[in-house]
Amino acid sequence: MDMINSFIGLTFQLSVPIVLGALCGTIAERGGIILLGVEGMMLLGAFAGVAGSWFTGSAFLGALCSIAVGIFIGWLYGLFCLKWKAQQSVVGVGINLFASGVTAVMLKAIWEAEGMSESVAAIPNLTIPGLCRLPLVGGLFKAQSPYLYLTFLIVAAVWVFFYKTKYGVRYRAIGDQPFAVQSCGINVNRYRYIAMMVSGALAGLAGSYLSISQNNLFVVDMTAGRGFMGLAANIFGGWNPIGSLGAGLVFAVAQAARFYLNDSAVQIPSQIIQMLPYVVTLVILLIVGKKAKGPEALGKLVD
Amino acid sequence: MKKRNVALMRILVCGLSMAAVGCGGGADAGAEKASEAGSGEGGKHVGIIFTEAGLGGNSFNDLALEGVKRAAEDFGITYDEVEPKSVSDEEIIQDEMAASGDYDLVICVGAEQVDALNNVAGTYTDQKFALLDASSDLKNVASYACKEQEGSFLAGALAALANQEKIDEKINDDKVIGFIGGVDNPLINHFAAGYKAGAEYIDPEITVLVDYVGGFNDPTTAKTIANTFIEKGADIIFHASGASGMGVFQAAAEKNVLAMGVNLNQNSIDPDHIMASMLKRLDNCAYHAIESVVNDTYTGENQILGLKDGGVDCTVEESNIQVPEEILGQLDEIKEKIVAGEIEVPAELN
Repeated sequence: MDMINSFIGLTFQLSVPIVLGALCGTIAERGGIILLGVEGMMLLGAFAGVAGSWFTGSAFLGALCSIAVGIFIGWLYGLFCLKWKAQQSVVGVGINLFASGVTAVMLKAIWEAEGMSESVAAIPNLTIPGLCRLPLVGGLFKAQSPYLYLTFLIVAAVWVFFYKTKYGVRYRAIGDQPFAVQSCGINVNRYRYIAMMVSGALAGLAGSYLSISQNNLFVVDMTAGRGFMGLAANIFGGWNPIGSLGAGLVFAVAQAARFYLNDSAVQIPSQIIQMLPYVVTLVILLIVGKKAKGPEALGKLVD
Repeated sequence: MKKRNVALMRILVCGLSMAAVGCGGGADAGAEKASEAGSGEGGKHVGIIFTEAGLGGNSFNDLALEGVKRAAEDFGITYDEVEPKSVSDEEIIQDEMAASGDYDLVICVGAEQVDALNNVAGTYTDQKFALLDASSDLKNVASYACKEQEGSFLAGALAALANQEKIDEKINDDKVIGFIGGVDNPLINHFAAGYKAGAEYIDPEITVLVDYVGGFNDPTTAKTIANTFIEKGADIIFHASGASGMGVFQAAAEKNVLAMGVNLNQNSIDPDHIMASMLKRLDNCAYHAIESVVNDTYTGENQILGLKDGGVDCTVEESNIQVPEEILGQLDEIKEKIVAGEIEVPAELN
């Protein structure tokens, strides 16, 4: 019983960066922008969080720094894709490479260190008394990061925006028929810029979850593929915020299983166990990929 | 092309001399003094090239320099030290040092210099090189590696003893300890095998949990592994996973259990939770290399230093966890047995 409890707790803990990463993808791609740079934006967010926490001494301000940097990178991304009309996939890959390089350099500049930063103030985990004793779901309320609850709120907020507001309808329409929406006199690019900035903010937040909530330091390339996994979850979830949440959780289950399979009765080579989350990602994409239909105007620009 | 090369070298010579002047009065004065002392007996001149990471921050570079300094005191050698600004500079510096012919030995630190060194050492076949913590098969390069398994054996024995004697209130009743490696490869398994063998040598019943992060820069996953280990009753966790290991230390601090560091003395990172560190003594490797040149025993063969030669060790210094004298005594006995060959330490996980 205890094990199921902590398994569920761990699953949700692992799902946070993937779900946030998936939401980044959902938000940007629903408006027609191909977003391959989630990994890089997350990494920059992770770094900004630690740097912010280091200079201000407050983990909370560190998280705000992450969001600010995320917004800036999102805006930059928009500038490249929308204004200068760069190939969107290339911009994404470029941001990923840039993030990996620039964070390593900044690490050296700020901490004179190679590979990892010094320890900084981190955001403490929450344990909700009472609720944490619940059977099965108690793990959700025991030593969990506040980011977990925030993630649920964000998913709900994005869903409400997408499906219950006038602006959400317009935005989704931009992803399918940008020219039609433009002909109605709506400034398509303004919507897209804002979406990119929101997307960046969420990526920054996801990065800070890794660096100052799960850990208390920055390590080079510490996102370790979670951004890409988020993108896969976005596609698996059908470019839908609730779907992204569900898909993120499926991946997190595969990841969490990896930690419990290790010393099961059957000896499984460690490489296979480590592969599990990625294999699940691939298999699911193989099955769902064909059916999943993305926004029609993905990658199409308007003037 | 040739002109450019000459110009480049001039720039480098300037750079080198400036680096030597700029690298701080202390070290420089030491070198000068040593040179005076050594001049009578035709003292050797040694160059050491660090990794891109440079000095400071308790790295392998500082450790290697310590060895060189000690050799300078003992053998009256003189030395020049260079901190390359980038990996691509390393080859140029190696080339420059070898071409000058001033150095009896050029010591290169770290695996990142291997490719460059293979080029340079192949060109200057008369120049003696020493390569620390990496390996090269060239005849004029003496590569130094360490028997990680022997140091890890001590760490495992210490963990099992601490677990048995409950030296700290952070240790529970379960006979479970853990090992977290960066990736599942032969090098990391030296650590795992030694640690496991050491623990089982003390207590055959003990369970050693072993898992791999899958990378050296993913503290988040390392921390999760450590947490699941702790859930399974592990109370001492040893890591050989580079920067990922920081996640192990965090888990130990949050869940109030003990951890062990690796390669360098990591005890001071969190002295209340890190009880010991297994050490790779690159200082002894550097010292050994210089000694071989001074005594004319240099062969260019690959050297693997174990406990016997001081290539590895295990230390509890700078930790606030009190390890009783009795246990330290037992560890010393084990050390002697390994040195004497009475205990054979496996290098592979069975």
